[in-house]
Amino acid sequence: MRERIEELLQKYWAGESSLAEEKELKESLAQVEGFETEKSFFGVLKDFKAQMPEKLKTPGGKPKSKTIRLQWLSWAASLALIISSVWVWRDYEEKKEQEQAYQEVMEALAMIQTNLAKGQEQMKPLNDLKYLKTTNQLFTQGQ
Amino acid sequence: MKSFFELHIWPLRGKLFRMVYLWTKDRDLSEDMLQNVFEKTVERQKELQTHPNLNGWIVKSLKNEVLMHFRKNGKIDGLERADHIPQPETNALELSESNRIIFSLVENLPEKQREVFQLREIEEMSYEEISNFLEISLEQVKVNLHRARKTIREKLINQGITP
Repeated sequence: MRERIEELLQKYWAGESSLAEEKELKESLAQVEGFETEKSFFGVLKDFKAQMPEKLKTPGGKPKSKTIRLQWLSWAASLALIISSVWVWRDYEEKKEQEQAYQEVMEALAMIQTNLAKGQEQMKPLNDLKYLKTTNQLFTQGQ
Repeated sequence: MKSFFELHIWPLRGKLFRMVYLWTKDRDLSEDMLQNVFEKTVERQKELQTHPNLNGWIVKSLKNEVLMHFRKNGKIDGLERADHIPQPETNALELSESNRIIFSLVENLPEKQREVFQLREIEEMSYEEISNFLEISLEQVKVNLHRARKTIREKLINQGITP
């Protein structure tokens, strides 16, 4: 086994070893005496691999759920827009109808007023009758 | 169902953290920088989902984050000279023996050699994975690894395992 380790070490330092050979080298070293420097060296590398970040957080919550929330938000916004459009349109229609009714009433009133004025005008000759003293006079004048 | 971030980015946190830790030698700072880059990945999720090399993008963003921090503090011009960053006293006291040894081993290694060394020796990644992570050719991965191992071997022969 020592010979194999020597061979693997040689390949390793020459930069010619594969990942599988490096794995074999590390495993073989653990099973033999000696090679203290190499053992310490690979041990230190292994220790450093155990270093992990401790405070790191997934940024701003899960992006997936954020997408769903945004999708819901767009649905809600569309719905709100449709409801408010319908409401505004109905309100506008109602106001239009009220205005139309008002106009019609006003026109009717104006027509009544015009006709009333006309009637009054036609009643004017009758007004002259009040200058006559008696009904007899009316008939005697005619005679 | 897991999100894009949880599936493709969160599992890289260990590797990325150790990479920044080797550059900065400061745990807290490394975590802050990684957190900033993670925030960016979520902000740009749409673009990154179709990115041809997500790992490469993240590593590059992390490097930029570290460089910007050090430039702002007037400490270095590039990661090549990250060894000259004085270690924060509190962190230096908390450093474990193995961390000291690692920092001492990679000290003075050029940036690329140090990165390839970390990804191969610590993360045990294949040449192809390293090439993808660092956006360099396979040949460059092999050459940088060979040079890094050569320097480290000389160090081990001359000094042994000492921090």
